[in-house]
Amino acid sequence: MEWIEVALSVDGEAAEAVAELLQRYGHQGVAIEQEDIPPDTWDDGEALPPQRLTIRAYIPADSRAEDAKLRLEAALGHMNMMYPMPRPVYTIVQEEDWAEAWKAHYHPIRVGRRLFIRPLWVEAEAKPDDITIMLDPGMAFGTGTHPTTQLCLEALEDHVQPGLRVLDLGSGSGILAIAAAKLGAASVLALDTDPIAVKAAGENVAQNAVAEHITIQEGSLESLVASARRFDLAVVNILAKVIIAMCDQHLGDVVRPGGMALFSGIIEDQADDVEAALRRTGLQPFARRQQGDWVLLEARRPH
Amino acid sequence: MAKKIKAIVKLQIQAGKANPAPPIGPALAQHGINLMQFCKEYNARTSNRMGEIIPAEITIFSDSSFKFNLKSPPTAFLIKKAAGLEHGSSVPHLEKVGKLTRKQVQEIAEIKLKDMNANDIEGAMRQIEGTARQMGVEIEG
Repeated sequence: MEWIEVALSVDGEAAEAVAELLQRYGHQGVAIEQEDIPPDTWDDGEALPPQRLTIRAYIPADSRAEDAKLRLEAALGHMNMMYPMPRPVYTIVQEEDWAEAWKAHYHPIRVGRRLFIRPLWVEAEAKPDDITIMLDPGMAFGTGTHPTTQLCLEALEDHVQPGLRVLDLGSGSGILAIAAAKLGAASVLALDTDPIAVKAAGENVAQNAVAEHITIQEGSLESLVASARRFDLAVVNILAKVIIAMCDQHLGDVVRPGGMALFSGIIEDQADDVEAALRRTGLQPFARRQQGDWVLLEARRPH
Repeated sequence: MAKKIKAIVKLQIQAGKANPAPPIGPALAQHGINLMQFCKEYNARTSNRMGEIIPAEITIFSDSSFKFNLKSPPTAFLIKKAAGLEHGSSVPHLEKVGKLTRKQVQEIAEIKLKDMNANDIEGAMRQIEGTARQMGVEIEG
């Protein structure tokens, strides 16, 4: 089956009325996408400035399609008398199994020397000494494809020793906690403030059969500092801004004297600021790793 | 967990009825996000409001993970509901199909204010009046 995609690029003021019009002709509703999101846009809770929007609806490419297009264009023509309207752009879209199509974006990837991340549904042959992590990408960050996650995985491979107590702060999908457990950590505490991430991590941990080594909790740094639990190795893959704020909330205290911490989610030009914040919380940065613009900082807590 | 935003897509769809057919499938599959997980979550969170259009704003991150928030119903849906209309006018400059009072506009503005690019209730009301006029709905008073 074929579909006709009807797309209109409009400003915020026209968007509601155009969406309402397309809603009448489109199958099951409309999709409204923000155009031209600047390349360095972070999810920091602030609303984006108003932008142009592309409104899309889909009509079945059958004998009634021409009629629907005519009526739609007539209605847009009338609206154009009151407010300038662009011409709709039509594209033929082939019906695919959309429920499965997104999976084509994911392939097994190899990180570091032995880590092999594979989507749950892909049958892939691992090498004999590979450490395989199976993931079902979903609503929690950390699918192994992002440089910040890869930097952490490489650093964990170098620093996790059998028997360590590890903290994964901002655990997302749980990928780093799982890697730490598979690399030999005795116990891993995976902490995230987002209940959806906690649920996703739980499923991924079970899938990888490392549940006995990993505790997943919804919680913040504050509760952890108060608990007096201390770790041999902490991995914090969040964002520079958040890491700096955490440093001012005694982040360094969760690392035992002589222990180590890894910080990721940092853009190159933010690294100096993060290092300064780490020193303020009693940690000593001693090494950097870099992939593209992204930096991972390694730090130690002195005895 | 460096969440860099790759795309923001708002879907205006029926509460409790998300499925992989258009517009959801083609709009989301191109961004490589787990479509069935979105549908399942959306339906779970909206099934108690069947019959309404509840927009979902989906933020897609640089590693193709995503989050979504439910938004207030579209302005046009609220205008039609308040004016007792099935549809807006096809010829809004010629044929007026309904009326709203200033009070009704204000009620809609109060529902929509948190999701709008408006600084205050007056700004939100002006946008809603604009949408109403483009639908062939007059404002009284």
